[in-house]
Amino acid sequence: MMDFNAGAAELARRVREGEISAADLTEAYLARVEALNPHLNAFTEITAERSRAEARLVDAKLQVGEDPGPLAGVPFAVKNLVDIQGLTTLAGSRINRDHPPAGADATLILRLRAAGAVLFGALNMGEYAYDFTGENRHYGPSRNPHDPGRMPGGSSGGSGTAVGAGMVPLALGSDTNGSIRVPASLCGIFGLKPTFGGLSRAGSFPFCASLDHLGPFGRCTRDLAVAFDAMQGPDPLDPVCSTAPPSPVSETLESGVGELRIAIAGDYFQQGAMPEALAAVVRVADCLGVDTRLSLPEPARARAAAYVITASEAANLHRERLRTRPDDFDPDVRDRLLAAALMPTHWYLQAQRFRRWYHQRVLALFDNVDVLIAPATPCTAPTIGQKTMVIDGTEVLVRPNLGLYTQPISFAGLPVVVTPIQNVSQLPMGVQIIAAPGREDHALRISAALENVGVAAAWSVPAT
Amino acid sequence: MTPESLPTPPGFDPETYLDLMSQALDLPIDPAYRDNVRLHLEMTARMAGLVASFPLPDEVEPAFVFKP
Repeated sequence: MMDFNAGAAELARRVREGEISAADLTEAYLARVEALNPHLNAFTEITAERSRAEARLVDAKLQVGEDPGPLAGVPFAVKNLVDIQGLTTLAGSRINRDHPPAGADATLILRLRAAGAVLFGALNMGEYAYDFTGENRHYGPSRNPHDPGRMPGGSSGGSGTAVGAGMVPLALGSDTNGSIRVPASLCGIFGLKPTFGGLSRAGSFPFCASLDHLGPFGRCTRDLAVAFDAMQGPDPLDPVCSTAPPSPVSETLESGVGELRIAIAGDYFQQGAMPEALAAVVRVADCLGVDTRLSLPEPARARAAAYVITASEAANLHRERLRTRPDDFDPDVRDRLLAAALMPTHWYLQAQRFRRWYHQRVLALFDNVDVLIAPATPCTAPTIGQKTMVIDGTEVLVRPNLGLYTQPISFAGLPVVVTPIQNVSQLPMGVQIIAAPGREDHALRISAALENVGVAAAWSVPAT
Repeated sequence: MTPESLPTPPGFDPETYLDLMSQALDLPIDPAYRDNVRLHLEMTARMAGLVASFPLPDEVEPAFVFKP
């Protein structure tokens, strides 16, 4: 009997030690995908034949004594803005259906495959990644695995759904303002938004070049670490990808809290949230024995500047499509892009100058602290189609407010692990574990420590 | 402070701006969605106003080449 709660690293161990073949593992997971996808709408393309062929290669390596890699036989899938050779990269849109199929796999797919992972297909997402809900006008909404009437969060909605439902133990998403962290929080799983430039974006459809990141979702901290190590490294095909040699994070994962100085993000990050979001932070603080609070400089302005830069760069990217095919966009996305396409340069340039100021001051915080804890989302998963919610007695819009706590963090390019916290709410709720640039290892160590004492854990996968 | 509660920058008239810029940039806005585009333009103006109201020293460069 297959346990679909298992993480990627554990599954790879079973394959490497001969407890199960990669082929049998693939068949078990393909059957689960086929059973659940009609209800949850996580996948837009299932590459079953390719999955079987890749699994056979893993088994063949094992048979001749070759090492198939640390992710041997592990099923994974990618947000459909990541290029899969032979498939058209949709980026959640109707318009991109007219594009030719991708000529090659994206860099991160190549690297995961080199580590032995087996590609299962492409995952649903909000159109052109301009979304925090996981809803999609063209392909239907991805659904929350723990309550299909609710949203998984977005824009990497299908990635959150697929890993949360145990359809695959590992997925890739993208995060410009929170699109990995929001679905990880609402789907009860782990997500890593690396340092800006930490992982190659080559072979992914862009959204906002100044802020786009790719990263993994997993069912435990170790999955994130193993996947991150498999994908790290310079890539001349991505102009912002770090040229520094990889800095492995898996080996130090179990180092514990140790000497790390931890603080709770105060002020802005303690306001505008439902009680369960703040309760998750308190649970983590209590577990770690942390009572230091630290204020980020001008987080509301950072969020506003991220909003302006995102809108402006995305509108520039999509200008010709807005001119020639406006009716083929999701209206919610189109109208925001049209407004942004009219923006004066002063707004954009001032936001970029503010980013410089903000980044320098955020970096200075890390002279006195190694890790910050903040809420991931202000609420648990809203219902699909829900437009507003009431927080602190005030009615606010769901869509923009899901990114309330994530936007100021990615704006500084900091690495963040979202970790699902148990026993604070009826539905999943995560926290952000935030570290200095390049110190993914610090955030992952804290996440692993919380997991080891049972404070953090992925939510159990649903029955088929 | 929600985006909805921010003030619109002084002197910014979204109706006039929308008409002038859509013509100048050859980006027609269909009347069917003009009202919604205007609402988003107002929202963007409020966000930009919040950023622009923060005084920055002359030496602060834009973060185009961004290395965290």
